[in-house]
Amino acid sequence: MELILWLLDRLPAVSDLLTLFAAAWLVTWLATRRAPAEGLARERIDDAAFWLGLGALVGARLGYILPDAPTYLRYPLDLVRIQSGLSFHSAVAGALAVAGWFAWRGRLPLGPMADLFAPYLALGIALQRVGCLIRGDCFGALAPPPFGIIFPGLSQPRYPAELYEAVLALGLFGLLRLWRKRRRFPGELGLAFLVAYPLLRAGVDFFRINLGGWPTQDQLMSLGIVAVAGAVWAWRVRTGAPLNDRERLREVAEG
Amino acid sequence: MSIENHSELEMHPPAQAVVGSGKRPTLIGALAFLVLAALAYLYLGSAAVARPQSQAPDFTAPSLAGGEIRLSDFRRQPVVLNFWASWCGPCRVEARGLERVWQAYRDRGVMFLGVNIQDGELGAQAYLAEFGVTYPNVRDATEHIPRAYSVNGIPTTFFIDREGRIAGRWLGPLSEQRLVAQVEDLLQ
Repeated sequence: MELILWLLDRLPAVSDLLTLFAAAWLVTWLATRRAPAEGLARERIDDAAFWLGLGALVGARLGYILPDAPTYLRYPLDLVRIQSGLSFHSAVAGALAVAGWFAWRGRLPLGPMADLFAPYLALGIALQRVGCLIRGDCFGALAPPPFGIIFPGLSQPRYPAELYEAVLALGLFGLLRLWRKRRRFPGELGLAFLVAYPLLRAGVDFFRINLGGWPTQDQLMSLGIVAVAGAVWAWRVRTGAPLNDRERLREVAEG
Repeated sequence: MSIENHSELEMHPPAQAVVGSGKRPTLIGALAFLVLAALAYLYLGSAAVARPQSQAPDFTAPSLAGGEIRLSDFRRQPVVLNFWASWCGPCRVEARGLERVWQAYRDRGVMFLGVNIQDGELGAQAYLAEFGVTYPNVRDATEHIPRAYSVNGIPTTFFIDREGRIAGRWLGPLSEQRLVAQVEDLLQ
């Protein structure tokens, strides 16, 4: 009984981590199942998913702790303290670094790999955002009466900002899933994800609690990712390389 | 023809494709149900929340900046009372957030007061300097204050309303969002 109480007491603190791992497992499982249809070998995707996930996690944590590096150097155990946070933008950087390394070593082509993961990442994000419900602090800024929810323990209505993000990410998953058949070059879905998700994230920021002015630092970094991914996207559409080459995909699948 | 059509036709037998496409909507449905259930829980559960409403015990303790501070000096002002120690890891997690929220809301009449317990004065001073804490802090070497507030672990934060009643209590590190939400409720 003591153990159960102890675990229940800590559930909110670890719920983020649990939903993060559940989402990572779901993304890996779906991507591995889908890999052959994208012309990619299953076992390679399984392997890549682990390293991509690790890259994203390390990147996310580094992005969060770097601004306070001296404190973390003084208390190194705080590096693994689960109550503190992760940064989305540096997670993207971490995953892209690993994906780039995979592509550079010729182990997996960047475009098909990005297309394979993009819809499932949106789904994983939707699931991870739901984790904030278990933690019980999904709330955003104060909301005018017809909108918003009165959260347990609070007395004024607030926007359920994290839920907005979960619903929008779920919608993005549906869109990318539909777009899969219409993409013009491998990597287009990946680029579409890197444009659409930071955009919706920056939009949801307007409903979050903000102690500073507008735009927030998070919004600026999101727009930076949108600008870079959008530029690459436009360039790829214009150069129009015939990258949906069936033979090349089959070669990759055969390893 | 698109990439997907080529590859799915070649690499999957039709039966597998049917099974695969049948499972995905179930998964999305489950996730959508989870989101809706969560929303329903939030709407329905919000009325049934019990909040502590007892009077906050008054105290006088030496300030870490010199002099003495008495809690009742802040009557008619909402107070965020935060128990901490310099050796406490979870306290470090919330320290910068506490200072940021204090800076953002101090002009609106809220008071933040830290209570340093089970700690040495040098360690406490170094902690305040490290995290740039500017709101007042007292040091309680006697442990009277945590006993009066039944503090079992740190960090623990009490939210005291303008009438001096305990409106809420939070055990463990506070996220910036939760702190802001509680402060805005106190200022309502």
